[in-house]
Order: sequence, then structure tokens, then C-alpha cells
Amino acid sequence: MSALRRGSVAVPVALLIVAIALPFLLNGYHVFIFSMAFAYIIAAVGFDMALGRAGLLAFTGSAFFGLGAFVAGRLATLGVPTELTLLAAIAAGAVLGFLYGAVTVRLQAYYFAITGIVLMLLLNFFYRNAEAITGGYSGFSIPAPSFLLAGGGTLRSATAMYFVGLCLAVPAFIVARLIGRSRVGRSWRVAREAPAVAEGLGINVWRARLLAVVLSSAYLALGGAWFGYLSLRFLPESFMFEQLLLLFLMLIIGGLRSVTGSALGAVILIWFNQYLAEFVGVSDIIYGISLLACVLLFSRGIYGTLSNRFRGFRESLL
Amino acid sequence: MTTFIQVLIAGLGQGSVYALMALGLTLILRSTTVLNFSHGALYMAGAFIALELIRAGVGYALAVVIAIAAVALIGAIINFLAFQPLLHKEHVTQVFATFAMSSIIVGIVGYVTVDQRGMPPILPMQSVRVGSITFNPQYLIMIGVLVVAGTALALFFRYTRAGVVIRASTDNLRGATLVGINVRRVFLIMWTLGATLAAIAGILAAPTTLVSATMGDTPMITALAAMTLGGFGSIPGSVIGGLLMGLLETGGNFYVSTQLGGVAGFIAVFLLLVIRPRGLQGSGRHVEVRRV
Repeated sequence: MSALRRGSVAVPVALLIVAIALPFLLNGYHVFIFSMAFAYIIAAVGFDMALGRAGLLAFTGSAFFGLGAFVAGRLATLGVPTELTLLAAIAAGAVLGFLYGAVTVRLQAYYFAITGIVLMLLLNFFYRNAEAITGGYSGFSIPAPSFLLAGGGTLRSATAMYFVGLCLAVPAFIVARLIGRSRVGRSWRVAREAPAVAEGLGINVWRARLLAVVLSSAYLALGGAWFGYLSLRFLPESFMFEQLLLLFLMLIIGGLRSVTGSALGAVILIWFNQYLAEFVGVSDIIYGISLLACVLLFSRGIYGTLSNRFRGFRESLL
Repeated sequence: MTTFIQVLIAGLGQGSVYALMALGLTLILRSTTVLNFSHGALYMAGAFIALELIRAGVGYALAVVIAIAAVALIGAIINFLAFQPLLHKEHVTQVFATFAMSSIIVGIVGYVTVDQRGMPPILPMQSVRVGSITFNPQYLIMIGVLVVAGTALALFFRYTRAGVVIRASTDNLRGATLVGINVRRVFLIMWTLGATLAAIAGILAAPTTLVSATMGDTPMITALAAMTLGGFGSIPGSVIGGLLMGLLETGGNFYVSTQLGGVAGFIAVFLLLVIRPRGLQGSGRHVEVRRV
């Protein structure tokens, strides 16, 4: 048992050391890709709570990711410090997630799926038409982040952005792990696998699902907010089906219902995306084939499949 | 009054396309319990193949027939490749498989062509005048095709032996298996039929929009909204819902603003789900997980 305990600390610490050393070993462009990966790790880990752990057909990924980018970006253009814009994005995600979830989580699977798409379309409609606030079709520029804690100066270097991303992603990751293993995480699992049993155990299924939607929305919004800072622009069209497909792929390819798997999926997909995005069509074909291969052959994703092979290794990560 | 009738014709025409989409989605959903997220891609594939053939010099009618047959074949391929191997898996997995097929089909077309192109209409003229009313005859063809397809399907399911067998297996899959119905063949038929309807819808709509790799996104989502309005899994409901979505879109465009038209139906769906979580007349029964 003590060996297991030691193992459970060794791997994450080793990964963290690698993550800290990375920007000094890579060139600026690659550092930037990793910074982007941190934004997506936050989003994917959160999205997994609703889609994976609670087993909801949540098509909300793009909607709340976009909401975070919009709220944080808009506040940033007004000169609000970055700490506050990120907090505002989280709050906006949680509040809209609560309002949305309160009326929708009681719906059956496919109805719920459709409400996610509808929400995405309605938000997009708002971005495109409320030009005074949102800048319409072409969106608006997002200034470089400036933290009060760092004296209010703007951060521009890729390395600085990388470390901010790391500081956001690591706590998000750890909290997601803790939630997954807590009473809440277990209630999601029972509610997913056997709603009737959950009711019998005194779990309020409706409340458990609502909590999954609220938490995942807050996570997605934070990821989206940081994504906005990195992309320097809020573009409404970035938060439609393609973004949703990308988020789905991260979870499926990395491994549903695993915090480590989702995070791994985010890193893999962001690297893929950098090289594939320029080939119109080809990226869709490759994503489609990977997604199909994953559901047909590795239903637990890369991480799940690998961890089945190396059980000991997996024990050390869990 | 004149404009009202014009809006009505355009709305019903557009609605017929959505109804055909929703009908195909519902047929697949009821027999397989899978919501086919590649339906928009099949719609696009129908229009794309027909247009390519017409541009290559094939006659309109023959091009349409070949395109529909090709899309029906794609439907059969999806059945064998992305549905049957996942028969006993959870819904999330099955839905992702159809999402993947959609991505592959859209990717192939996107790779072949990047531009948006117009498709020639079935009838040569752009507008017809009856008294004071002017409209695009394409809308009448859309309505006509919906009536014919709907009637043919109703007759098929009610009076033919194959139709009765399919109804039996959609009502009770386990029971159908027990009395010796080959449910796998039923799945194949329904995927092919659903794909055929999507292709017809795409070919009908193409002359009023533009043909491109992503042209299927909006009709797909609109058809989902239509199914929600009419009640998931209900066949008459899907047709009524489709027509309603068409009317809401066209009416919203004309009477309020061109921006509202695109979302009027979705707002209606959202409100409806809040008030009546199972749609206008849906039982919701067919959405339940059901296995062989």
C-alpha cells in the first residue's frame, strides 16, 4: 500500500516537472500550441463531467466554451484585469448552465441533446446580431491578458502565457479528479448506470445531473475564456459544430469518464489540429475515421486502452 | 392576403423538405433507437452527386435517380459499418459513430470541392403567377413530393407484408426476434429508406439554396427541431413538425426580420420543451433504451 501511495505521487510530480521544463526546451510556436492545449484540457475535463460521468447527451460544449470566450473577451476590452474576467467567465458559465440545466436535465436523452444544439444556435444568433455588444459576424479583438497580481502589465511572451495556462489547468485538473472520486462523482455514476437504484439510494438524480451541467459549463467557460485570450479574437463562427466535434473527439479519443484521458485527448487533438487544419476536408475525414475507429475498436479511448494493458501503471495514476 | 399566400406556399415548400428529413430520421430512430447525426451529410451527398452528374452531362432525371441510389447505398454502408457493430452499445457511442460518418462524408466532399454552386431547378422558370400570387414552382414540387412519399410510406406500412413485419419489429424488437423476424434485415431496410428520403430532400432543396459540403447542417438541425415539435418517434408528428418549422422560418423571415427566421423555430422548440417535455403529441416511448 505504501508503495502504491508513493507511486501515486511520483507520476504526477514527474509530469509536472516535465510541464515546467517544456517551454525552455521548445520553440515559441510549439510552446503556444501547448498553451492552447491547456485551455482545451480545462474544457475537456469539464465537458467529461456532463457527457462522460453523468452520461448526459450534452451537446453543450461549444455553447459554453464560446460563452466563456465572449464574457472574458468583452470584459477584457473594457480594461478589466484578467483575474476578474476569468472569474466572470466561470460565473457566467455556472449561471447560464444552471438556468439551462434547470429546465432541460429532466428531458430524455435525445431531447436533451437537441436543447444543447439549440442553445449553441441561439447564442450564435445573439453574437451575430447584437452588434453593439458583440461586434456581429466579425466579432472583436481581445487584448493580451494583464493580471493585477503581475502588476497590471500585459503578458505577451509565449512562455508567460504557457505558465498562466499551466496554473489554470493544474488546479482545474486536480479539482476534477477530486470531484470524480467524491460522493458527487459516485452519485453521477449511479444516476448514469441505474437511475432507479440512485433514487432508491436517496440520490436526487435531477439534482445530480444539474450539478454535472453546472460544473461542466463553468469549466467549459473557463477553458473558452483562456482560448479567447490565446486566439486574440472573438469570432462567433468558432463556436459552432466544428468546435463541438473537436471537444467530442478529445473525450472519445482520450477516454470518456477519465480525467487523465480527457486531458490526454485534449493535448493529442490540439497537436493534430495544428497540422491538419490547413487541409480542408482532409482533417474532417481523419477526425471522422479516428472517431469511428475509437468507438468501434477502443471504446475506452487511448488512455483507457493503454491503462488496461498496464494495470500497475494505471494504479499509480489513479 | 396575397403575400400571406406567397409566404404560406414558400413555408410549406421549405417545410416539406424538413418534413422529409424528419421522416427519414424518425424511421431510423424508431427501428434502431439511434438518432442519425449523419442525416445532414446524406442530404448534402444527394444534392452533390446529382449536381456533379448534371454538370457531367447526364440528364436531370437520370442524375437524380443515380444520386438517390448512391445515397441509399451510403445508408446501407453506415448500417453495416457504424451501426450494426455497435448494436448493444450505449447511445452515446452509437450517436458518435453516426457523427463520425457525417464528418467523413462532409470531409470527402469538402476535399473535392470548396466552392458553393447553384443547382438548376427542375422546372425551367424561376416563378409562376396565378392571379396576383407569384411563387417559385420548386416549392410546389417539394410539397408534391412530400405528399407522394408520405402516402407511399403509409400504404407500404399498412398494407404490405414487409411493412407489417417492419412495424412489428419497431414496436417490439425482442418479440419480433422471437417470432423469427430477421431484425438485421429490418435495420438495413430502414437505414436505406432513411438515406433515400434524405437524398430526395437534398435534391429538392438544392435549387433554392447552394450546394456545398456544409449545406446539410441547418436542415439536419431543423429536422431535429421538427421532430421535437412533433414528438420524437412519431411519424405523423415528424411531418407536422417539419411543416411547422418551414412556416415559422419563412413567416419569421418575412414578418419579423430575416435574422429571426433562422431561429424562430428553435425558440419555439425550446419553449415547447420547457412547457411540454415530450413534444406536441409525442409519447416519448421510442426514445427509451431498447435492446434485442
